[in-house]
This record gives sequence, structure tokens and C-alpha cells, in this order.
Amino acid sequence: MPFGNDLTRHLNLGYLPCVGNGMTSETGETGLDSLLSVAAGFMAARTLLAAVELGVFTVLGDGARSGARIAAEAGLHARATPDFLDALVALKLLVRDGDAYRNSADADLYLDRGKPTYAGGVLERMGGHDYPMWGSLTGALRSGEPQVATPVASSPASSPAGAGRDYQDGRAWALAPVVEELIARVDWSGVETVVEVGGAGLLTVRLAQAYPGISGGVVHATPEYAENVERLFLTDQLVTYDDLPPADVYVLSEVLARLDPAARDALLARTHGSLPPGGMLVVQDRMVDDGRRRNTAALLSSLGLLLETPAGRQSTTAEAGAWLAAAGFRDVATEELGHGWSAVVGRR
Amino acid sequence: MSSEPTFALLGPLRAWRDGAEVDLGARQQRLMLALLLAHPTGPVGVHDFVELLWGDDAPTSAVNSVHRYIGVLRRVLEPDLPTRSEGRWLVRSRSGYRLTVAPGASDLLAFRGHAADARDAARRGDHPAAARHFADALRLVHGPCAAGELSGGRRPTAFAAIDHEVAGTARAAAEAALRAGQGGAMLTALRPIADLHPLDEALQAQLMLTLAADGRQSEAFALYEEKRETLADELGVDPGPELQAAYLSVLKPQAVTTTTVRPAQLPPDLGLFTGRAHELDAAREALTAGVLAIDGMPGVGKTTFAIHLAHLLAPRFPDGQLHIDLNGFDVAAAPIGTGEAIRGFLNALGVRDDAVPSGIGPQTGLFRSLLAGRRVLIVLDNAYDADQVRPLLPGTAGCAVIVTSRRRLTGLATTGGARLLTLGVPTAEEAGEFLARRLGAERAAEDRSAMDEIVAACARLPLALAVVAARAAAEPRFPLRAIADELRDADTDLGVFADGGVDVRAAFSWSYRVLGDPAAALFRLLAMHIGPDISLSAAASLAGLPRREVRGLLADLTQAHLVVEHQPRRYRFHDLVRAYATEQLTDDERADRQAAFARLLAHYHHSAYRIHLLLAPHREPIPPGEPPPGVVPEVAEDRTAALAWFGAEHAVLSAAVRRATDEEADTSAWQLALNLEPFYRSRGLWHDWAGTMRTALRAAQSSPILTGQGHAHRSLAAAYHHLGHLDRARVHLENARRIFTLLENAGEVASVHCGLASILRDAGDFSLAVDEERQALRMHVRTGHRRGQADALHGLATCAGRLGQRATAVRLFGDSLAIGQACGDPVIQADCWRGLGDLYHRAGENGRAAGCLTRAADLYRTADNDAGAAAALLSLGHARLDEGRAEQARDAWTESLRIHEETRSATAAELRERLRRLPPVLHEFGTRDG
Repeated sequence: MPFGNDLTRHLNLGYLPCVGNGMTSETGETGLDSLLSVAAGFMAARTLLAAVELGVFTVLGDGARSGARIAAEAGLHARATPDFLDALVALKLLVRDGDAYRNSADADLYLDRGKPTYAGGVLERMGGHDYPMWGSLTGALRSGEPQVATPVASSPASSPAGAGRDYQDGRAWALAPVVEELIARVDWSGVETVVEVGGAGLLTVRLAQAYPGISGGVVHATPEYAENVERLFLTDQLVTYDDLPPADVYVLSEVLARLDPAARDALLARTHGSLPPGGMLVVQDRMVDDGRRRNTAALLSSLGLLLETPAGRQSTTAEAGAWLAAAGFRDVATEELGHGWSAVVGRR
Repeated sequence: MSSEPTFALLGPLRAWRDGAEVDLGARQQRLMLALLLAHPTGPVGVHDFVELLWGDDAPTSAVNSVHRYIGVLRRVLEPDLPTRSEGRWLVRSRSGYRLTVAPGASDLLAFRGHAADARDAARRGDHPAAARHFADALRLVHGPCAAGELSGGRRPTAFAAIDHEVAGTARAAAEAALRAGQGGAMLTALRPIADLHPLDEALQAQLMLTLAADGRQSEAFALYEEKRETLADELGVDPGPELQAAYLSVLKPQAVTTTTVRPAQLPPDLGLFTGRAHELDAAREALTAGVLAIDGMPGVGKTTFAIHLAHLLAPRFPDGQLHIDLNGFDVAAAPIGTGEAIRGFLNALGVRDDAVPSGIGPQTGLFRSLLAGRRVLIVLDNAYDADQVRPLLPGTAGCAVIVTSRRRLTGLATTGGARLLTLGVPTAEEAGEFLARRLGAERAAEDRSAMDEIVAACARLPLALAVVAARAAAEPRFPLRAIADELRDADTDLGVFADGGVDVRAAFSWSYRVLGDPAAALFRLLAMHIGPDISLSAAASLAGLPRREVRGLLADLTQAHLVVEHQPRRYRFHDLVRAYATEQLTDDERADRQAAFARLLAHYHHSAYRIHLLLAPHREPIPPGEPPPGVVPEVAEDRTAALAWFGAEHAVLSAAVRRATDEEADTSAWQLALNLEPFYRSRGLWHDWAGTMRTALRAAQSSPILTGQGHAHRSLAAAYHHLGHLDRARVHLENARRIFTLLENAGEVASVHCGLASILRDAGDFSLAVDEERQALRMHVRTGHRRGQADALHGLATCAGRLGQRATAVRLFGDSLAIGQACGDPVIQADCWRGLGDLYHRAGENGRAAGCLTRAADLYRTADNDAGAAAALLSLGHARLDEGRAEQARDAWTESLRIHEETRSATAAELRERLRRLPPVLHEFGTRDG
């Protein structure tokens, strides 16, 4: 899978721009340069997010342009143009030949709005929603309170901030390898109905394409889900639900981590109660490693939940397994899906 | 007083007065006006009108009616005209009427004026002016003369003559344009007229040349193919000399440039060649050029002689040697079709199958044009008769041909100027020397009379002598006298061989009798091998014995000179020996023959099945089940080995399909044929594919199980599609669809829909293609066939793009990409990027297009898909050029050319031409700011 890995790496870079510099020296101590570089990560992040916001990569999607031409098309001030573009060159997002700029290969693939692989919608959300929110991190660390006007506990895909085709498309490209890994890892034999909670139903759509016997749908799906289903001719197999219907498999993707313990246990109990004996629950998220030191992306995304939700946090895979067991699921197993993602699977 | 009316006859009949079109009224008066216009110098007799309107069934009132219509017409042209007044335009003249029309008022007269100016200019040698005037003339033509006025079969000579005149002018126009170097400019005017005259070969030929001159070789070839089919369908004839000549001259520049290949097909010479000094001298003398036809009885050594002679002569032919065994007298293998032979030669000369034209005529033409001006030596071994050979003669002074045949090919001498040489049995002295060379001089000298008796028992036939010598050499202590006695006592009352050879069974039996039982049994079984030769592994399965054991037995047979290992681990018989082996079958073995044949067929079927899986068949393979006991199928390690295996066996395998069909092993026949498909596809052997699949279809049709027919129809359709026969492809796909629908095989029905869609796309019918792709997608989703879904989505995206629905197209390409990525299939991903690239290129987003096409080329390369990479690079070059980056266009095209040359594709010449036309750019200009 030539694209998914790159993209997931890039999205992680958005959270952690200086990971490439090495955060610790060989002795295990952090030098001042490295410290400063972590601290200044926001500058690099903001530069990239601004470039996406201004459509620089889309302007350059149709080939190389001079700085003046980019400035005209993207609406840059003359004073800002050279440093902005050359900073993007230094960040390896643009390439400069003589006095012409062009996209780097990865930027061209994922950040040119003209291509079907455009994942910039995810970055647009980071720039417009996440970035300002993270400015209030200190307040959240002190108060333990979310720092957004209307904290939401639903999955990011179906939250208002996550609405929009570009965002959904971007997520689809970023998560495609994770979804395929999950489809490959889990035993779907005998499964007839799969119900996914929230979002554009990427897993459900892919699953229905791969397994003709599987039908089902998505609870509280976004409009993009219906469009995907229609375009791919899965109309007679997949539907949208207002409430949890009976099914052989429930998939909770980026759901549990956003709930408070009571709501979480209630949802687990409901799914358990609605599944037939032998039915399966799949919980998928960016879970923290059990040692709580390796999965930087998961730990930082947990801080994001602190900012955005009343009680959410990323659990470790062991914790998630324990929740499932407590709700009565048996044969609970963990699957590492790569790219910082994990799934915990249990059967009724 | 109204102004002068104007008329149009070159197309639908029309007339104008005072700047407005005139309603000409009833059919009869329209026809009469048309006839008057067709005779601008008039007059038109009343009886000509009668003939035009009623033919032979004229009523008695006909003449009166004509006068009445004339009156109506006069008032149409001059509405104010009093009744019974003659008016200005339509005047009575002797026995008829005349239309007085000024040169500027009739399109026919204007056409003639421009054409005359053009011819004057051409005579002056001013071809650009001629082309200009001709173009002015052709622009006036809007259809056949008086289009739509006549519904029945009667078409007045006058109209036909004008059509003919227009066609002639169009031909002259094309010629002038070509001479002026402005072929492209004439295309617009030329095409519609050529469409009106689909069977005017001279005009079609000019159109082909004009297309080619405009750099559209592939369109020119497509036109030729289309004409060839039209002529075959409507008249049942091959294209005539004008079309063929045009075809060759379009082909020539690229054929000559592509062919850097120097064929070297001669089999190795025999080290022990003796005697024949007189014949050799005569032959060497005769054969500086031209044709030498050698005849002689079986076993007399024609092939050995011809090969030896060819090796002696080879240095005189620096451009290479071609060789083919035409199998003219092989009892089991049908004589190689002349077409197959020419295609083999064309391939050896560097022409890929997709550049090989259909039909023997054009193939021969291409063959001859490739050999023109070169010095190539050609050996046509084992010809059946003169007719088989004739299309294979180069007809060029610089080339020489050696033909061998059992028949005296007098036909070649009388019409082809061939020299004939009959190879008789060697003299007793030569035969003695032949034997002595093999036995050693010392041993030969020990008993002269025994030597003479051995030579006599072998009827001085070199084949028999070689067999005896081989055994004698293996037993150096065996006295020659004993050999002579045994040969004399051998049982020889079986009669002469059927095809007139001398009876040398004694010689064969003397060697055969001392074989061990297993070797003798293998010898008898081998006689039933299929195709030109048999491999060690196939022989093992035929015998039902382990390979190791069979290798030893084959070594015994080779040593005894009964079979020849003509390539490593590939064996063949002389057909006299093969006939002898067949005679030796015991009654028990005759009963077992069927089982042995079944084992051999199973060997090919199972091996082909296993090995074809490595060539990524595009469809669900059909497993043949477990091989029967004794059969050990072959395997291949990787794609390269798989291609090599099919390359070595494909003559045998296609013969096996034919044999299986003849022997009513129908299931094996069509399944084996299907397993050949990926090989044909990757090598571009479209003609062979279609041929084998036609046989397979016949086999499948005699089986009560429908599946085979469905697959054969589908596969044959694909072959025809590649050959550009879209209509035939469609018919076979429709059949396949009916059958698979009946069988409720959703997967295959889906792939039929995909196939139909791709034909419809090629035919430019995108809306219909969308319907087919939709059905395919729906079925692939139902069966969970993801690669199929990706294909269908890619097809839908392509259609959407061509229908102008760009946003939908991009989204659908994205869907297809995502599934291609999930399946880990780089080719479909590459297809999508290529489709996106083309989409952006058409929209003028050249940089974006270039990015996509670069990605496509890279992905094709990772999949070793040369054809895809070359095509993506070709498009990339166009995008780069339109982007203003000539240097990068050059890079892309150079790389594409490299691949095309490697795969010997016909596009190479086109690319070379495009590269030549690129400006010699040192600096990029005007690129950065687009």
C-alpha cells in the first residue's frame, strides 16, 4: 500500500513536527536545541496549515510556478511571499528549481485539491478547529475542563467540526490502510449484518465490497456515507440507522474514548445485550500502548480529548480489553493495526 | 422581376432565390431539376425525364406529365411568371429542356471551376496552390449527388458520374496536398468524401497516405483494417493493389526503422556431412540469389543437405537467415499454415504481432517490403507444394531461398523462376564413405563386401545408414559381417512405406530389436506425440514413468539415432522412423494408446494450468482437478520462466488443442486453450490467440456442458477486440453473456459487461458503456470480486470523463484507486492515474496531468507492465510538451521509445517521428509561469 503509510506518517507529523529531529540524544538527555525545536513545532505546523488553507499546493498541482504567480493565485502579500514559500521548501513540502516552485511528491499527492487522493480536509480541520483549541491547553490542564464552546462526545467524524466532504475524504485516505488491516485480521465468516456507529462508514462500505454476504449500515451516518454507498452500488446492502439495530457485529470506531465511564459502560452493555450469542464487538481507536510511553500520537490525541470532550481520554489496549470483559464479552483479543491504531475484539 | 436563382446538387438538392431557400415541391419536379442541373450544358430529353421518373413502367400520360412539371418548376424559379410562358431559366431546346445557369449559380459548376484551377496549378507544379483550389472544390460537397432524392435502386448514370467525378477530384486533391506537404490540412475535406465512397479503394488509399503524412499512422492502419473487412464482407475480396501499396508505404518508414533485428534461425550444421560434392557445387553456383527447390524421397537427406548448403552460403547473406520447418509431410501435424509461417518470419524480422496485418496478401507484402534491399537467406524445409511456398518468397534480388520437398516443385520453376535440384540416393561410393566416416576408416576397411551389403540393405538411404551406423558404433567389437547378415535376415515383407519411400525397415529394425524393452516401448509410444516435438517431461507423462528413467531411455534412443534431441531435452522423429515406430505398436498397446494419449494431453493441460497462474490471468482460473496417475505436470519458478515455457511449448500446445478437438477430448481442448490466453496476451500474439480460440470454441460446442462455450466466446471476443474487429468481438460477447446468464455465473457475466463496455468505449459510445459498467459493478459487488469492482469503477470514471462529468470522474477514479490499493494491485492503480492524467490533459491542466502520468508510469514499472509504462510515458510526453517543457517531453518519449523497441511495438516509429519533430531545445522556455 504505497500511499496510506506516507499519509499516516504525515498526519502524525502534524501533531509532532519535530519527531524527525530526534527528541533525545544518545545519553537520554534532551539538549536545548531539541527542546527548542519541540517548542517551535507550532511554527512549522502553522506554516503547513496556512499553506493548505491558502491552497498553495492546489495552485502548484498544475505544475511549477514562479513565486509571483503563486502569490497572485493564492493571495499572498509580496512581503510574505519569499520567506513563506522558502520555509515550505525547507520543510520539504515544496521543491524550488531556479526561481520556480513545485510540490514535493507527497504534498502533490495528498494536498492538491484537484486529485482524488486529497487529504487536506483533515489539515483544514486541524488549522481551523484543533489549532486554536490547543492554544488553551494550559487551561485544560489546570481545570480538567474542555476548552471548546460546545464539547461533543460523539466521534470526530460525525461531530460538527468533522462535517464536510473534504474532511471525510482525507480521513478515508488516512485510515484506508488501518481499515484494510482490520478487515484482514478479523474472522468475518458467518457474519451477515455489521453495524458501525458514526461517521462515513468507511469500514462498512469496504467490508460490504469485500464480502458479498455482509449487509448492514451505519448509525447516525454523515451524508457522505449515503453518497459513497450509492456511487458504489451497495444500496440494497447498506442503510442508515437512527438507533442501534440488532446485528452480528458492532463496530465502535473512535467512540468509546470520547465517553465518560458511565456512558461507556452503558453503551457496552447495550451492544452486549443486542448481540446474538457468538456476536462480535470491535472497538477501534488510536489506543495508548500498555507501557504508556511509546505511542506519542495516541498520547497527544488523548490530550486532544481533554480539550474537546467533557470526560474523554485514550485508553490503553489493556484497559479497553478489561472494559469489554467487564461488560461480559469473552475471547477478548487485541489487534495491532499499525499506524498507531489498535482494535480490541470480543464476543458475546 | 426576381434575381437569378442558385442551386446545390452536390449533396441534398436545394435552391435559393433572393437569398431565401425555395421550396421545390413534389418529388417528380425535384428529380427533374436535379437531372437538369447534372447536365449544365443541357439539353435533357423528354424521354430521359420519363425514364428517370417511371423507368420502364411509364404510363401513356408520362410525356404530358413531364411538360406539366416543367411548367411548375418554371414558376417555382420565377413565381411571377405568367402561365404557359417559358421564362428565363428553363428553356425548351430541340427535343428537351435546358437550365440556363451561370457558373456561379450552380455548385457543380463552381466545383468544376475550382478543380480546373487546381489541375492547372498542379500542371504548373504549384502544388500548394493546387491543394488550395482542390480544398475550395471539396468544400462544396455535402453528400452524394442529389442526396435523398432517390429511394429505389435506380440511380441515373448522370448522378453516378458526378459522384465519380467528385471521388476522382478528391484523389487528386489528396495527391496535391501530399506533394505540397499539407496532407493534414486536406483531411477535413477528404474524410467525408472518402466516407461516401467506402469501396473506392484508390480514394481510401489516398486517405490512408494523407493520415500517415499527418503523423496518424495508427489511424491509417485502423482504416486499412476497416477497409479490409468491408471489402471481405461486402465483396468477398482482399484489398486491391492500391490499398495494399498504400498500406506498405505507410508501414515502410517504421518497418524499415524498427527492424534492426538480424534473424539467425538456421539449425546447427551436421559435423559429419559427406559426399554430395557435385550437387553442392551445382547448388552453390546456382544460388547467388533466387530460389533453389530441392526434391527427393524421404530419408535421402534433403534437410541435412539444405542446412549444410545454407551454412556454406550464409556468409554471402549478411542480413541474416530465416528457417522454418513447414512440416509438409508430417503425418500427425497439419502443414503449417502459410500465414503462421509468414507471421513467424515477420516476428523474427522484428515485427510484433499487433503490427502484423490480417490476410495473407498484406502479410506477404509486408514481408517482401521488409526484405527489399536486404540480403537474407531463407530455408523452407519440408514444403508440401508450390502454393504453400509462394507467399514466402521474398521476390527480391538480394535474397536467396532454399526449399526442400518430397515433390518436384515444377510450379515454382515455371512461375517463380526457381532452379530445381533432385537429390537422388547417394552413389554406392558416397554411401560407403558416409558409413565409413561414422564407423572409422580402419573398421570400414576390414570387410569391404560386408560394407557393400550393409549399404545395399539400407538402400543407400542416408537416414537408414545413419541408424545402422549409430548401433554399429555403439558395439565396436561387432564384426561388420554379422551386421550385414542380420540386416539381410531382417523381416522386410511389410511392403513399402505409404508415401513412396524405399523400404528401409531392415535398417530400423536392426537397431530397434536390440533396444531394451522399456526403451522400445517408449519408442513406440513417442510416435503419438503432438506437434513438432516433445519435451523430456511430456515424454515421461506419456509413458507414465519417472522423468529420470525416461531421460535414460531417451538417451538410448538418441544414441541409436532413432530420435534426435534437436534442442536440449526436446526430441523429434524423422517421419519415416515415426511411421516405423507406429507400425511396431503391439495389439495390447493399441488398446492402451488411448490412455497414453490421455496422459499426454493431461500433461499439457495440467502444466499449462499451473504455469499460466504465474502470468496473472485476468479471470478466475478453472482448475483441472488432480492429474491422472503417471502424469507429472511441469512447474515454473517465476513469470520469466513461465513465459519461456509457453514460448517453447506453444506450437505443441496449440497443436494439442487441435488434436484434443479432433479426438473429442472437448473439455481438455477448451480449458487448455483458455490457459494459453495470458501468454498470448503478454506476447501480443492476437492472431494465434484467435486461431486457437476458434478451435476451442468448436470443441466446446460439441460438448453438452455450456461453460466451455461461454469461456471460448468470451476469450475469442477479447482476441478480436485486440485485433480491432469490434463487431465480431461484440457478437461473441453477446453469446458469452447469454450462456453465462443461463448458467447464473455472475462473475463471468460481470466480466462480459466489462468487455462490452470497453468495446463501446473504443467505439466512442460512452453512454452505452456506462450502462454496461454499472451492471458489471453491481455484479462484482454481489460476488465480492474487488479487482473487478476496481476495473468497473475505472471504466465508469473513464466514461464520466469523456461525457464531461469531470468531478464525478475524479471521485470514481478515487474509488477505484482505493480498492486497487486495498487489493495491493499496482496495475489498476496505475490505470487510474493514467486515466486521471488523460482527464487533466484534456482539460488543459498539463502540469497536474504530468504528475498523474508520472505516477502511473512508476506503478506500471513496479508491476513489470511494459506496455502500460510505455503508454503512460507517451501521454506524459504530450502533457509535458503542452506544458511547454520540451526537454521533459523528450525524456518521457525517449524512455517510452526504449520500451517500445524492447517489446518491438509498432508505436516505435511514431515515437521516433515525434522525437524528431521536437525542437532542439537547450533551455526550457515559457514553462514556469505556464
